[in-house]
Amino acid sequence: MSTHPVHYRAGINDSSRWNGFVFRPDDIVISVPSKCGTTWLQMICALLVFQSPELPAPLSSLSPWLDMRLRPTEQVRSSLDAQTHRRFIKTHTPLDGLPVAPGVTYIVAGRDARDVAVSMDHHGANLNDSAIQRLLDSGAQTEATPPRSLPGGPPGGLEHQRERILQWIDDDTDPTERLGSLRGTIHHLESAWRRRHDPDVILVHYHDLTQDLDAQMREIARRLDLTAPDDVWSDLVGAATLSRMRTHSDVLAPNEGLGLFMDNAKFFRSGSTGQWRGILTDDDLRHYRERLHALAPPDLAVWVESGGVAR
Amino acid sequence: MTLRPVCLDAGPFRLRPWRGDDAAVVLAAYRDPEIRIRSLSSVDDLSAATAWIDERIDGWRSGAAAAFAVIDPTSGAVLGNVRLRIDHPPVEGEVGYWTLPAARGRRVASTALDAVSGWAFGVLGLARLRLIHAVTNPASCRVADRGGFRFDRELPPGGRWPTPGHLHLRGAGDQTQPPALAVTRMRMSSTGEGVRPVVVPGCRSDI
Repeated sequence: MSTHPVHYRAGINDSSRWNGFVFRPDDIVISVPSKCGTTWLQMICALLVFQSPELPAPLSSLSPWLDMRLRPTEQVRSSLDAQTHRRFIKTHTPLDGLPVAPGVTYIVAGRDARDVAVSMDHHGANLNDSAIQRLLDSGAQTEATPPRSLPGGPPGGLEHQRERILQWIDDDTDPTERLGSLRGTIHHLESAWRRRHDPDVILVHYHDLTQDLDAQMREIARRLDLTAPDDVWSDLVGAATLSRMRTHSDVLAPNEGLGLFMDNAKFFRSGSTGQWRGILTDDDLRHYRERLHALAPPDLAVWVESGGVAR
Repeated sequence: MTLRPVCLDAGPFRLRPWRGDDAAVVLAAYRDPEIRIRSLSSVDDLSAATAWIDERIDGWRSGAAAAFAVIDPTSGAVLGNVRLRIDHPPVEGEVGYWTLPAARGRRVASTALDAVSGWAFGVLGLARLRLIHAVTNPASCRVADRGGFRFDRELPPGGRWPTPGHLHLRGAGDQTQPPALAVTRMRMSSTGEGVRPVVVPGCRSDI
């Protein structure tokens, strides 16, 4: 394993912000590709750590996104330094871009990449470009950029959406520059797949969370050496359902208190699977599969689409 | 962002990526004084035409630019050129174009610009497109207006432009809906067997 983490600078993500970060030996790093269940895993960790369905603060405060460029690094580190509970830190950086520290546990989640593509498409339309640009400019006076998105959802009709998804599938940009593509997503998952048998890596699949949340939470708790009293367990599982999270989008959506979304509730838009069936043609799906198998080893390609135990 | 090569329908015209076998038509285009004087490129022989095309093919691979030949879908004849240069990060872009002498007066450029704009906003997610032309080129001013690019301001000489220019802008939010995406490499078509993809005839995007 390389002792020098790969540097990812993609979108608002810059993995160099991890350089020099002082870990605690029981830290949890939630390293999940966009739209594969990052917020879900943060919520599960929060419930397991605090052992209560009522969280003491907004989720993005309890579980800061360290390498997101819209906040000064020192500000994020200070808030993490001040935390007295077991820390669970969000990142979209693949494992080979993160420091390896003794005792730290890394949780990575995967999802059917076709669902990721559809979810990413809706997510892009919900981003508040003006707010993000203002934060990136750090208040500098720059010419206003008009919003990319039209009100009410992704622009155009089904044909536009299909073409955006195909562009996402075919985008061949190096993952160090762009993680929001099929190549970037698979690259991220492969960095974890190679370490799936390591005791400090927990690999979770979105499909498995939807099928048996209780069992998945129990397994995550076991791997993290966390236990919850039986009398609160069902409340914790109930609070981790997507439907319940959607009703609390004001404190759970990862807008970091910065107004990154046009509508927080739309962040938890659906969470469903298989919407790509109404968008992609049979030829498109063949093309997707060829591309997936060109990017991922066979066992990872199977796991990405179906989940299950990562052998 | 690298770009997935696509073909676009643009009303009576079709747009496809430039191909290696277009060198002769590119050379012929650059023999036209109007194109030659307005263009930032120089194409004096077949070798230069091939290099011009290679640069446009590379644009798709690098994500820096998407260049289309505008063709007559019936004859396959090349009528013009539209190129979208994409800023990094990909938030805005700049369009350029020319029309071959024999195809002028048919609104080739403005129609093609409209199609490329719809693709840039609706698929690539760009926020705004720029169009810059020389003040001494009123024909381009009319193309810009027809293509939905409103006049913004006059620009002094500088950068890539040796003479004063007009800046026209078109934003993604300038319309309530983006133009209908006419299609790319595969088109949905209703048949007796249900909806099936159909290859757009004459479109080769295997660059």
